[in-house]
Amino acid sequence: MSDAENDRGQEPDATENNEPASVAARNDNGDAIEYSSAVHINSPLDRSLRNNTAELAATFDPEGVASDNNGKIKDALAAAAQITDENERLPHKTQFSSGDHAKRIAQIRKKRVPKTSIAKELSRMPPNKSDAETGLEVGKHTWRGLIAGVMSARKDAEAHRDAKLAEELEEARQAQKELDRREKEDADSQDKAKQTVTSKADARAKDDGAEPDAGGNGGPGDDGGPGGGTSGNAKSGASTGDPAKASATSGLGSIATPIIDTAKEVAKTVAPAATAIAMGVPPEAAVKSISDAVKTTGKILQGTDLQVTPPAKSLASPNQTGALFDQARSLARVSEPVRSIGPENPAPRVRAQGMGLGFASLIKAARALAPKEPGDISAAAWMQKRRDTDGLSR
Amino acid sequence: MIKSHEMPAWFLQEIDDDAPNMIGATTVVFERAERFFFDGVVACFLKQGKIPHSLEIVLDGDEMSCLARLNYGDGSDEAAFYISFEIESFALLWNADPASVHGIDGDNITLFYKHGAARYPFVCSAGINCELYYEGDRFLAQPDLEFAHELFMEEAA
Repeated sequence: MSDAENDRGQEPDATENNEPASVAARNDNGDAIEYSSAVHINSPLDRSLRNNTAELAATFDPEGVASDNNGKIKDALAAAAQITDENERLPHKTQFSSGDHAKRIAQIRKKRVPKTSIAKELSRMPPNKSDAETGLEVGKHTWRGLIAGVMSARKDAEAHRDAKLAEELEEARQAQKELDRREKEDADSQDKAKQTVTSKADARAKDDGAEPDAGGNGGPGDDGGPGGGTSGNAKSGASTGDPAKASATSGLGSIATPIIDTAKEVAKTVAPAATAIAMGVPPEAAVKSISDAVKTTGKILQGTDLQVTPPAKSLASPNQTGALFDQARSLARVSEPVRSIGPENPAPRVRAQGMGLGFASLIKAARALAPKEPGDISAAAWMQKRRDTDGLSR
Repeated sequence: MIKSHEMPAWFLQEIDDDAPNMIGATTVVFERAERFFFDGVVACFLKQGKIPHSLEIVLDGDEMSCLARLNYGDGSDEAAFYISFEIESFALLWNADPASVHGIDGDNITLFYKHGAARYPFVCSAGINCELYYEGDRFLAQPDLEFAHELFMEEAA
């Protein structure tokens, strides 16, 4: 026999097999539910009882009462009065709070039958008489119906909460999409800017190369003029803010043809290296390629016996090969789009700009679940995470 | 709403049932749309403008007796009023832990529960005889099948 049975004062001759169904049911707490308004007799008192109470309460006069500064009690009194009125209009409002049930409660509280006598009585009942079990089954059935009702109400509440969470999740997803779209737009605009710079450099290089043919004023006499009038060389130098380069390129006018040929040779040599740089090859390898190109170009230049003032170094190419590199980049055509070196999807500086902290926290929570692919998180997983975090788990 | 398992000093003292500040009527609590209301003495006091500064409700788990104290004035024992309180309503408030009851802020309501093994018989809203008991910081309701069986036997006889 267990200690629990000893505590209940069950007789020693009552074995577990002969234990009455009622006692066995009591030992099992599986039927117990949390006390709530679903179980509570959730109605005001009867009118007569309330009136009697009001008369009694009127005879007491406490001193030093508190005040209803915020008016909450006044509002509650108005709401309670409305509920009471509605309740009194219902015909069966107090069916469980008075009458037979109240008498039965008073009776059983006054004189409860000892459990031992019930166990003894039931243990002596004939085994083929199933009346007791039938009565218990009826009670169990009714109780289970009540439990089902409570559970249904809980499920409804949980479904309501889940719907809210799903809505929040959807909003977070939409925000995520919007952010991704903006990020992509930023990346595209950056690419476009790069392409624009490249095309400008191309155009500048073309201007430099075509200037002797098109301008016709690129003679040596124009060298000393810092303004250079409206010639292409002057314009190019002014637009880049590099007068030294303008001067140097203007000096190329008289020896344009051999230089162009040389540049073409350079372009043929350097084009693969430039393409490789554009594709993200490490700079060391690119420098090596360009160094080889310089060597080749040097040989070519030595073969021409031309004394050419080297072009001024641009700010973007401070090393010794910068001038040739600029020429190569201006002449070579990169067939594939330029991509930035670094992570493919860099994090934006301000991700949740203008969304507010609450929205950012939603996104953060969604990302915390799937940091690699935040868009693929399932709604169920996210809600479960929210439940665990907020202590809403069942 | 403040919860405690330490009994207040006033509850440990002898309380005279015939004292002038002892009110022999009960108070219950009911709920509508997640709002909780008193009915009975406390509701009448509130309606009459006798708003207490705070409420202390004590449930003795051994004796299954419930008593509420309404604190007025300086909070002394003489200025307070004592009323009986429905045990089921105490369990309802303990489990629900509402932010306010009948407009009284939850911070001004303290629930005291003294541990005990007693089971309290009551009739639930479905008309089933049940037992109320305390387990794991919650009040649970379980159908009193023993009592049901007893009634069944009486009716059968």
